[in-house]
Amino acid sequence: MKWKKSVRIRRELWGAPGWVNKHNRTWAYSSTTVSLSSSVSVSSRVRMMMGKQKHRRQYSLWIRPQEKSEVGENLLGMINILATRHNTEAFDPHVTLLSVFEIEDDDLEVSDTMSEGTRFSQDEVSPRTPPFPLPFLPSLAHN
Amino acid sequence: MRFDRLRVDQSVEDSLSGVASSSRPFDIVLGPPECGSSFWQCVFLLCPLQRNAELVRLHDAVRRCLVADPKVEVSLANKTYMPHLSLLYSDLVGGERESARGEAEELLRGQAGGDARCGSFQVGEFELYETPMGGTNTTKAWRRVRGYPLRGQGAQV
Repeated sequence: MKWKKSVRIRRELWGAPGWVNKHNRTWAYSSTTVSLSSSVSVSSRVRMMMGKQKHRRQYSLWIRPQEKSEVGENLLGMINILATRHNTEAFDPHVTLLSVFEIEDDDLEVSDTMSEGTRFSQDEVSPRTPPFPLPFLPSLAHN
Repeated sequence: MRFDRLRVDQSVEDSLSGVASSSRPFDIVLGPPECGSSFWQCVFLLCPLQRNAELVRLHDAVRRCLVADPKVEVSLANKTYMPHLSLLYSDLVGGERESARGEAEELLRGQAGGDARCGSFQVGEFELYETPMGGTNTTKAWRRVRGYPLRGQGAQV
């Protein structure tokens, strides 16, 4: 392969190995290729790779009884008991005022979110979870 | 990596604050335990619509303002609001659900001196929670974003 300017990234960062031509806005990475040193900012690279990307987050509106109230404590107690008995998760007692809705999240546009002071280091990169979806990822799946 | 943020779009903040500032505190009346057919509605206390008009009004108000916001996508699973307070999230089936409902009823009786109703509680605010669902039945990623105190005076809007 002739990649003059390949960039080495930890394989775990994106979840699959592969080489890519940087000049075509794709990237190179494999299990043996570099790695972002801990002193290198990823933000500029990520910006170069991704540009801006919209995200949507899911929210709900809740109404909760006051935690210190008798009703609130009784309900929480019941929820905990039932969750334990049925081996499932407990949760805060609440009445859902509006169930799941999505809000466009401008703050997660990559270039806005990652301030100059925000850096990935190898230690900070999750070994399993990509920090955000990569639009070109499918093209990287081939070795 | 850190995303140092826990805020939503300003227009959403403004809309919800507006609804809260024009809504007055009210009580929610809880009914006896019931069981449903989905994971998220396994066992719950239904809030009877006829006794919770203020709650329905608040639901309509926040729904209207969010539907009108182009940055928000509201896609309700149930078109009709069915207010309830969940007691158990589980994928129990058939008779197991009814059995769990019976357990909840017993617990309520123990707490309320023989009455299988939880009564009511006062509502002073509603809260925005981030509730990523992601196709999984877990609450682990849910987190509170902020509250909106009800500051209205006099008649409801």
